[in-house]
Amino acid sequence: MNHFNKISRSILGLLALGVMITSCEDVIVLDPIESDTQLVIDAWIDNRNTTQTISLSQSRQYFDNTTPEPVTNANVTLTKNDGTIFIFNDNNQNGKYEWEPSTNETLGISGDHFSLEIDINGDLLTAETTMNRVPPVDSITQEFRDDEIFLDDGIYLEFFARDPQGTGDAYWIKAFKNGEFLNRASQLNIVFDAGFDSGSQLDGIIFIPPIREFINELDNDDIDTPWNPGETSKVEIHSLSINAFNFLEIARDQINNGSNGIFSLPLANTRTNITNESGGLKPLGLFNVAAVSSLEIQVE
Amino acid sequence: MKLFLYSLLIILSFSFYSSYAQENITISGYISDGSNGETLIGSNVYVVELQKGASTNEYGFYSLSLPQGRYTLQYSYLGFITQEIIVELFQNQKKDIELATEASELTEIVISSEAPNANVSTNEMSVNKLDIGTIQKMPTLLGEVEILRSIQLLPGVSSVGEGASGFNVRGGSIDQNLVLLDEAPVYNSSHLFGFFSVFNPDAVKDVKLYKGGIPARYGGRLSSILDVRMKEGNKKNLALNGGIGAIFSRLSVEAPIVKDKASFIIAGRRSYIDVLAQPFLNEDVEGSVLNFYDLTLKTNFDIDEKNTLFLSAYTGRDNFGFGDDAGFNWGNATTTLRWNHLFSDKLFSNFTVYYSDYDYQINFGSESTNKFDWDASIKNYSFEPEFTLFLTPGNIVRFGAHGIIYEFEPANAVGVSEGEVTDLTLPKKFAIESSLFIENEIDIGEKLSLNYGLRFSMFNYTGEGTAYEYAESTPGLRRPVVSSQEYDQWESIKTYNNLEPRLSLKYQLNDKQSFKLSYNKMSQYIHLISNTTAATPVDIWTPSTNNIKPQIANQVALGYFQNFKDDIYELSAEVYYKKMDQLVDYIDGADLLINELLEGDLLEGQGRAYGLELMFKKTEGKFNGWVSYTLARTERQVNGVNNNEWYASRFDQLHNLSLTAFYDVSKRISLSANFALISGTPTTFPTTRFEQQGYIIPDNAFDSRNNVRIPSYHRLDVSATLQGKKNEQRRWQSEWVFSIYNLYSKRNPFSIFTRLGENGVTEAVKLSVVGNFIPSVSYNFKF
Repeated sequence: MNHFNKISRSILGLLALGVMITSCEDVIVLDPIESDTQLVIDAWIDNRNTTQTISLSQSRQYFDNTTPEPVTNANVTLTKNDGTIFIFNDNNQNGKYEWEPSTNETLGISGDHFSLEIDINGDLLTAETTMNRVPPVDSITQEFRDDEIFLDDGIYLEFFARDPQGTGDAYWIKAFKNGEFLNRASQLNIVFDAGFDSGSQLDGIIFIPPIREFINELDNDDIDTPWNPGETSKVEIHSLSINAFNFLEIARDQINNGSNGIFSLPLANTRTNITNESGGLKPLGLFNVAAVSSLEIQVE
Repeated sequence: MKLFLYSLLIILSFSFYSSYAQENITISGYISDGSNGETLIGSNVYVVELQKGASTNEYGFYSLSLPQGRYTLQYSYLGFITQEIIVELFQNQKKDIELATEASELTEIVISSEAPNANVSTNEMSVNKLDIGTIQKMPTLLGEVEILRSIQLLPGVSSVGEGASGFNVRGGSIDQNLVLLDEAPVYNSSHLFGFFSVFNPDAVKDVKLYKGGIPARYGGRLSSILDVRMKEGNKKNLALNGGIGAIFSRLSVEAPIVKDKASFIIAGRRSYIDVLAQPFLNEDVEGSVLNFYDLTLKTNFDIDEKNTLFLSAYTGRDNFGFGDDAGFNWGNATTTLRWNHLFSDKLFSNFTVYYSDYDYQINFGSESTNKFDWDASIKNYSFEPEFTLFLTPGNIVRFGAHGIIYEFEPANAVGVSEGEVTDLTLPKKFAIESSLFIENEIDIGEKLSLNYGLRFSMFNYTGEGTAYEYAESTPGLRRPVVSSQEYDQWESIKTYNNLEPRLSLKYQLNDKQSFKLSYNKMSQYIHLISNTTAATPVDIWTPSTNNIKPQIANQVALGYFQNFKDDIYELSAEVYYKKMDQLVDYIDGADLLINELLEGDLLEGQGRAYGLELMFKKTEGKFNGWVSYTLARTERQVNGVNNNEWYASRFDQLHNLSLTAFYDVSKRISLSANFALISGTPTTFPTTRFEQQGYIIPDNAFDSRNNVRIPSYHRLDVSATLQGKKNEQRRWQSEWVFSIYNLYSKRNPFSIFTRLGENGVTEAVKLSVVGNFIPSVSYNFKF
């Protein structure tokens, strides 16, 4: 159900809603399934001239809703293919390892290759990735739309960007409203060659419509909400490696699986691209270095 | 192929050898219901002097070849008065028989069968025949008579839960059932997901389910054949049937066109949830449509003694529309034309041509500059000649062929945004499936009888199209394309063929006891691509290709059958083992829809299913019914899933017990109840949560599949039928049916899943599709 996830999900969800008048959901308490704690590496960094952060923490048992335990005292090193070394330091002893660029300094440009090394008490974890290319955000347009089904009247936005020629480009579209990242799970917007995934076999065209419209804030029922004049919208495109795209695709489907009712997908694990060289438990999480383009507008 | 022809010769010579010992005379004809002219499938002709018999085929035809002489023939069918005639057989003769219904107004028959002791005496095993009269008496959800839900009360048949479409037979997935409506396959047998089936009970004559020991004349699916036969239409009088229920209203009309020669039936149903709900809709959803309907038509014409024509057609659709802006609909259409021809009194033939289509359409947006239209379909065209040679009583040879042309349209999808068109359409796929079969049903001595046969099937995946070659990768990961090749229309891309031996054998200990043994190999060349718990209407069918192999099953079953007390009680006990190979499975995160490179997301697995099935039935009396119990396991092994280890499949149910009871209180009032107790099915829970970029992601540290069981399921349904006062002067008959589904309001889990709730809290949720008891009333009438 990845394709047209919004369309097909919403339609099946609505059918289920309309039809299963008699169905009900009860939150229940279950015994957890015990498993060993794993190292979680949150290493999504980019080529902007801002603080770059790699977070290390401990995984938790699924029903444990407490804050994750940070992993401190690790050595985190990033090496570029030209030999440049970037050291990430946990200055605040909170598991957030940071690299602070100097003026105009960035990690690199698209095409650069990076290796990550994390040393925790003698355990060595490594990962490699390439920073992929990113197209510019050409424009963000606004349009007043009349009352439609599942849509109140008001101003709605759409962004435009064109996928470069050649297949295998993947992106994460991040939308912001008044500076705030729209982080609803159902709003997680990933793109493969202008379409939803490699199977669409698109290439070199403007991102297709539902992707362009995912920058409007969704309400609790996952319905687009209108904008007010004076509000600001920012759209960022982050380039992804194929591993990162596959990771986010599974993550998105799993996070949203709870609303699929009788049509739920089987549980699937995301796949890390980080290896534990010391042979211990595999870590969770992903390493991606993104090239970023962005555009910000004010709604009129 | 050579092997097939060779076997054919052996079978033919064997069967002819045993029949040509002496010159025989043939008596043949049709047996039908005297009240309406409907032919009776599986009715019995018994030769008293020889203590041998025959039964009618799917068209009500029988043929008996006997030595010259004078015989007493008994024609019988459960629920009908047995007719006895004396014939002097000196030359071939025709004898059509019309049986009269039993005078008793209490319809006490539960499961009709060929003869009172058919449970024991036929060589069929793993076969259930449900009489439409029985199905109509069962308590139902919202008072709707339901064929597919009824068969789930039989041993070996289950479903993943309420509302899930399709059914699972002996550990097979839902696409492994060949559902035939007058020989045409029905690709989606459900209305409203799985709540109601597409079969209008008013138009159905006979339902037969083969779970094992599948005869060579059937093929194309691994796990079962559900053979639904439609009524031909009343040949004597105009008859009207109808009903008003909570969900559907039904009406059927049947009448002779030429008395005793030609007749028709037309039956329709339509739901009216949308009509009832209309006043409650707010203006946003005004003009919304939510309905489903089906229309069934059949007509037949007896051209002469040797030729009969039948035309059947079905169309049904589920419609959901939200204002002008969004719509979603799906449905099946089938058309079958059949010609029965008698080459001689002994050689019966049937030629079938059918067309079947399943399609769905989704559309958004009403303006031509902003819209999205998406549809997909599977269509097929088929020709099927079949011959039955009645050599002697207890020696029948059937042979024939089957050709199917498939056209798959996986996605026809076009989006238009501000006038800019994005075409996501995938190319069509084509395939030809052809098969030949021969089978011989033969009695060897008094005790042993067998049906053995062979089916040769061939599948040709053809152009026009592109065939991709994929790289190998770690099992469980998406495989990238390494090369592709274009093919022209009907140019063969990949062929597969299989020889499928079939056998069922009966050893009769005595009148009341028998042992049966069966073996069948089945192959399946088309696959439903679905990885959700319940299949959705947008799941597509795909052919076997150069990358997807046909699914194969081998099944053996052994059974013991006994009747007690003048055949009033029937006991059957069967054990089976089924091994399935080359099953289709999916990588984690598979993209199944609108994916040109779907094959790269598929995995190949194997399965095994084994179990014990018990059924105890009381077939007569005021109080009757059955108990069915299944003890079973069904498992899968797929490289790339569950650490390559075997795991219980999603529809694995260790215990499945059901009780179905009918009680006739008086001539006018009858009660029925059913109770089901089913072990919980397995599901997969995460063990771990972790955060990435602010999102909380579930993970299963053991990479296991189906690691927990949901609680067991139990439910009781009851119903009462009150018949209107009988008045001999009036043809109008009516009844009220009151039913309560889920009487004690058990919130049975369909599934238990985990989710990220509001405020980032991870929690477990029990989903119950039916959370309450559901009462209903319906009114049925007959004229």
